[in-house]
Amino acid sequence: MRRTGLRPRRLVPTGLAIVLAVAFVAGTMIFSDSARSALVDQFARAARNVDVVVSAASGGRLTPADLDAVRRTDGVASATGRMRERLPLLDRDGRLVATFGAPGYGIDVGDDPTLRSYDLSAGSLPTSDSEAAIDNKTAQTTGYRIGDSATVLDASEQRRTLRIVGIVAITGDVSTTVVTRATLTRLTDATGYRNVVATVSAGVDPEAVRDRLRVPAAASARTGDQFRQDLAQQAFAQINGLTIGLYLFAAVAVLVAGFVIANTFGILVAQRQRETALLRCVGARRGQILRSLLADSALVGVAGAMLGILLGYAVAWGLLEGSAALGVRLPAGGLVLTPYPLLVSLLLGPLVTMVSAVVPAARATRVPPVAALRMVVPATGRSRRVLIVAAALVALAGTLTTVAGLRLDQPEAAMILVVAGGIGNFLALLLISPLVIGRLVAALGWLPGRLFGVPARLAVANARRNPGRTAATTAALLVGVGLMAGGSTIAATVDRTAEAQLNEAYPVDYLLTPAEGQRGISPAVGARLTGDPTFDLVAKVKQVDGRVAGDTVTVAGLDSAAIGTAYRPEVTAGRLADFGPGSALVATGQGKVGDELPVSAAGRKHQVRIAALVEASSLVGDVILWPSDFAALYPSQRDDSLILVRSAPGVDTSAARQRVDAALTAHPLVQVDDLASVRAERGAAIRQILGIIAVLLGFALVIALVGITNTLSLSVLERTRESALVRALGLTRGQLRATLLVEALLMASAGAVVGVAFGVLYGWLASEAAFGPTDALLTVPGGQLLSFVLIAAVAGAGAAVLPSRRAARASVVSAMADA
Amino acid sequence: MTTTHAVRADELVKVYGEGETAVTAVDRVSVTFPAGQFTAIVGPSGSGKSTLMHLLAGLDTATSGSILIGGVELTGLADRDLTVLRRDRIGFVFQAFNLLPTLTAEQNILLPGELAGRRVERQRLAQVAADLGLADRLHHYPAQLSGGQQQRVACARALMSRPDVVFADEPTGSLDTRTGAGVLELLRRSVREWGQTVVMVTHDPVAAGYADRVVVLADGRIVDDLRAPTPDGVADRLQRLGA
Repeated sequence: MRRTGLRPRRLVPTGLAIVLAVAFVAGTMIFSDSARSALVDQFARAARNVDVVVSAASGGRLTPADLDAVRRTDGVASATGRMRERLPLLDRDGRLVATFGAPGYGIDVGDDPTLRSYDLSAGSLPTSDSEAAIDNKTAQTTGYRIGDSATVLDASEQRRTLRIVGIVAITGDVSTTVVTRATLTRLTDATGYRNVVATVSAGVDPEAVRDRLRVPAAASARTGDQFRQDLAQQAFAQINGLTIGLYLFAAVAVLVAGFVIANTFGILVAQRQRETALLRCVGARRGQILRSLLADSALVGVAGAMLGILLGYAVAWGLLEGSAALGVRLPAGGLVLTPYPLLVSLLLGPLVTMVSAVVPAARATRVPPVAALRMVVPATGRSRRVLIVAAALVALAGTLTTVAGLRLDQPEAAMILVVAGGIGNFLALLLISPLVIGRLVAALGWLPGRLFGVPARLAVANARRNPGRTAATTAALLVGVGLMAGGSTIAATVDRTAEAQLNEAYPVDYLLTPAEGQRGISPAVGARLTGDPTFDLVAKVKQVDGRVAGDTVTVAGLDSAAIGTAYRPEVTAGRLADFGPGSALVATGQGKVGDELPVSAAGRKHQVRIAALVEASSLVGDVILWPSDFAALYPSQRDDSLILVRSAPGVDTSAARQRVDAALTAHPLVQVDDLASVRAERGAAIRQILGIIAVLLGFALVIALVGITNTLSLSVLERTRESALVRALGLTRGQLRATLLVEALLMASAGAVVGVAFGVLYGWLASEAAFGPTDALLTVPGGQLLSFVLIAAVAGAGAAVLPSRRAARASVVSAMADA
Repeated sequence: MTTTHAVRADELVKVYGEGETAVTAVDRVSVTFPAGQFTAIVGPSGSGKSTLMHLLAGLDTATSGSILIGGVELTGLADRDLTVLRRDRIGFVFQAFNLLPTLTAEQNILLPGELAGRRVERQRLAQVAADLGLADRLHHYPAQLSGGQQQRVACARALMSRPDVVFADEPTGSLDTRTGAGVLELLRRSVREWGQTVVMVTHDPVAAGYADRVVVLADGRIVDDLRAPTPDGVADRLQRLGA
């Protein structure tokens, strides 16, 4: 049996769906390969020429003796030590150059030019005490040029001026200053190396050398290849998040394509029922019919996969070009094509089509031969009761999982459970949708029916006549819109909740914390800010580590003026007003109000009376003492750990920032978090995430719309006689087109409306789970959701353009003569 | 006296194809259908009787000639205007597939009126439904009706708006003899009792026997025009054409 009677043209939409899905998968894989290759090239710089490496443990250093030992090892040709120490660099305004709050590092020039971890981009390398080179990213952000003088802070926080003589290219985001070894030692008081790297003599196996190395305790030895691999892993961590995200979306695209294909085959099989029955009459066995249908689907799958790979190459190129917009900076590099994506695509294409076609194909084989002789072929459908029972069981499991997730306290596990429950309920929704889609379409079509009369009412009737088909068509859209709505609800809820928490807990403008690696902020900073009329609230927090009943806690002393103003904890028991000398605010869970709580800290033990229980704050501390109590108990704790600053009303934000910066010129090792810019950054980050979601799911939407076009085209073919009849009875061409347009619109909006409802529900539940004990503030991004529905509806109408034109073009007489 | 003519065709020509392969389906046909008359168009298959009906009903466009329905010239009308004319002035009964499966009998009957945006005449609907024995079938879907009932619904739809003319295309073609007779009787009654104009295309002499007049078509031309025909007379005439 070579022919199944499926005309190639009718398989075009199936092919299109698979082309798009494969393109996404192949594109993601090619992009991921290319990005990895570019990153490996970049990270390999640090491991260039390295055959073996000995690394100190975190925080440890290797001594010159260790370097000598490596040099003396049999097979080692040359070896050099690499120093890397914290060396804070200040910008032109005297502010600390920091990456995520961490000051920069200094590295030594190195003795062996072949074993350097950087490349000189411009100028020369430092040779004297007063010279330095900086990395190109820092040069860009600070505006320092060759010949400029730059200031660094030495170990005792004294300013030292260095002349910039060169710019280097180096791996990583941390600001790096290259100085001579002697200078680095003088500035940082440090000797010793983070790494000792070595080359081996020609013909010697690096592994053998590695095994011969005398490795000091708390250090490790690796071959150059291992070193490169480890560096690469570090590099991949940057893009893993993005790649996983892309693969998830690719999976969604494949799923949606599966819906479209299953639906197409379902309709084709239904339309060919009589012919299939005829084939059975003349002796075709069930297996033969099944095999021929599956063979057809496999062919479409292979063809679609081949085109999909080509399109995927373009997708990968687009992703690589657009990756900056997705928040990942990649070094320049071309597309890398490995056989792996090709193989996966060629297998995936036919696999998806065959799996999607198998159910409709199997149904086709159940057509009794006698159906060929009947006028009307009875519709075959699953029994409603089976469907309802199955859906109810799946929904029950999904709901129980969701509830279990919501009751769980660990946010991560809770989220996984909620999402799993969501998937369960979504499946139940898909199962039940053929039974409810009719009513939904009727409800949605009520208004158009009133407004546009007969064409709209005919459209509603048509959309309702085959609920299974309508449900399957909308399901594809449901998936895409549901994910988009869920994503944007989560984003909006996270945004609002984080904002509320920030405002609630810290109604201030600036948070000052010690830069990474610093123990505290000099009291002079707090004193100067307190005396500045620009600020109407300066709350200084001092902290020590302590223990309560075996738990490590942070004991804090806080200006009494700050309680209830800069620091507004959520009180779970007791009253803030009862807080005073001799008492404490304690994180919930450490006792009862009025209890005497034993606290040991800084080598002292004492009792405090619990005035009130509050929600723990990681920033302030777990046990909060009255300032005089704190000073009496821990007199040696003079530095502040945190300063909360609020501008006086009417003060311009940039003026206020300048005053903060001015207070810090003498003490630059302080990180300033500008809450206004924190808010702006968070807003930008959330908009970016939404943008990514929208772009990627747009792909799934396109596939879903191909599905709508497809269903409508096939329905139009099926209804040729009907269309001719209503045309004869007085439906104009325009009205016939309108009928199909409204039908597409109804299907699209049914999918979109249910998708939005489901997405909002589970977006909210997932955020609720993610925030754990704190309540998430549900935010429904109404504008966005409305735009999703509108986009889906407009796109749905767009999907009807071709089928409706074909339907309207047909002449009444020939259409009646046809079927 | 054009006003008494429901439909009038002059020198009507329909040619399919071009040049050597051109086929003339309707060849310079001039005919008038007076109002209040039941006319049957008969002829062997390929005689052009269906094409003639399609032209008269504005379903197809003529190559040349003119058609007047209720005083309106059809030739030269745009598709939209033709559609509106069909909706407002013509009733249709086809051989099969007369009804939209997604609509109930009542909705099917009311469809042309609704397309025209006319107010539903409840009284008229009740009268037509009662006359056609459909009163208890109005809320059934076509699939729940027998073939005869379906054709009666189609007749009700055609008669509902008192059109200038009802075109019936082999209305009994897929019915058994007894049911078919019922439908033909119904059409004849609509002419006798309500003054309706009916033009029916058929190849069945028995069906033609219900008409007041039979127009016989062969090779696209009118070859005979019988008044008060009998089934035997029509059969005889058709037989002679075949010979």
